[in-house]
Amino acid sequence: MKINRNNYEIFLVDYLDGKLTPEKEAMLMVFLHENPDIADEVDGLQEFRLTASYETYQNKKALKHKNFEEMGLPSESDYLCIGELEGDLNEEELSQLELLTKQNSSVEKEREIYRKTLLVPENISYPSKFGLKRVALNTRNIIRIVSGVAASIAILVASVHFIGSYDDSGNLAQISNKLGTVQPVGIFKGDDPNINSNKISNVDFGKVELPKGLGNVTAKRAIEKSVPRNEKVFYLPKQQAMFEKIAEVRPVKLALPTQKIINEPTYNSSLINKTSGSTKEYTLSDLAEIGLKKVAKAAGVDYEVTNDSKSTNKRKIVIESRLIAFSTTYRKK
Amino acid sequence: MTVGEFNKCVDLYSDGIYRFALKLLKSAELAQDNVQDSFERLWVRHSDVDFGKAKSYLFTTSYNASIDTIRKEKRKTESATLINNETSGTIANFDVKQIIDKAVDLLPEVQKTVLMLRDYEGYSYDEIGEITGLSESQVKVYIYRARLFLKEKLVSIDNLV
Repeated sequence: MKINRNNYEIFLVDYLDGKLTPEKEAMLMVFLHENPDIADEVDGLQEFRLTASYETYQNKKALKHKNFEEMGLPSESDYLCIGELEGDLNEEELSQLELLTKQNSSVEKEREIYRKTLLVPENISYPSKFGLKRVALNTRNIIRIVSGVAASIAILVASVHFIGSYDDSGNLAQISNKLGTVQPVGIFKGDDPNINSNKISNVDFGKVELPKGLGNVTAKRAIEKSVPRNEKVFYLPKQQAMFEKIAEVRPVKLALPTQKIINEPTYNSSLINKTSGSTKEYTLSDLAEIGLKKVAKAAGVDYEVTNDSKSTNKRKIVIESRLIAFSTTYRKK
Repeated sequence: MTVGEFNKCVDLYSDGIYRFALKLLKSAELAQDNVQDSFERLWVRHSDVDFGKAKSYLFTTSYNASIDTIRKEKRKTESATLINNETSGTIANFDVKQIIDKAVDLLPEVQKTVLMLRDYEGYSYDEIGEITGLSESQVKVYIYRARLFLKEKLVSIDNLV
């Protein structure tokens, strides 16, 4: 751009601010030399400069909005007390609070009251936490669920069955041996007992275990061979044992755990002689143990019976499957 | 979030959500429903929600559901009236915790919520804002006003005693 009388002011201002390039500055000097009237006008302009004023406004604080007003609080002490509680105060505000506390004793009381407004969590727990949890439906868990449910149902059915067959009259009642292949067996001396009389006092329903891997007939022979000559093996008719006798059973009385009950549904030939000639009594705990063991075995679930370390009278039965675990301690008579 | 992480959330947060809902709804039954709904919603979206965000998600869901329930059943006015009466009746048995509990129930719903999230769960203003849909400064103002209200209640009872 060429300098002329119409645009020289732009160059002149930049020159005074020291922003002109050496080439343009040289051009400006040539222009001023050719136009002496403008050169006279510019003379002395370089010395004319305004100096900044350093005076300050002293009442800035009064112009500012107070934090407590903005928060809708009645006073600064309220703001500072709450701010202290919330951890919102900076160093300056903390000093201000300390100063106010020294100047006015009521501020300390105010601080104390504000501290009491902190809510303390109560010890309340959600009662059904387990119900909220989820199980991932992969093959492994499905198998666990199915086997667990099956085992639970089996244990429930067996428990109801065994315990529910309890006759509190003191007479004999029978439990059908659903899990074995032979109906309940007992050893008796003398005449054959009359089943229908419901008073088979001379029969000893000992713990007899059916030999494994044998058919019914062979198994019966094996049992009979193991019995002394003066004793006979007694079989309850299947239908009678399963339906008629159980139909006579009355509801369980849990308060009477030592009542004489039932024959034991398992067969153990090795125990026949040991129990022969005596009457064995079972408590409900015994029955529960027998039932649970049997079902656990049939369901292919691991179980364990251990003595309580603290009491010789107590025993602990633990049944575990992949999904469920059942454990209880009971006292033997 | 995996199923394991979801179940961990149940262990970690169900009590807090339950307490929160119980305080807002004043009914154990409604609070239990609220907890179940909150976790049900989390379960529906568990594949989208990160474990780290689950707590905030649960409290947000629980808060929104609580507000809906309160509006539907108009419980707020009823309980406030009830508590007002109770407060005046228990002045003789001066107990700071009782007074604070009753005073908290008299707070506007939003102030009560932010105060509970702050004191019970230790959330920051920012996190509370995320849960309640308020700005950080609004949360701060509500908390300050709530504390002022509680302080005034305590002072008035103190003066009476």
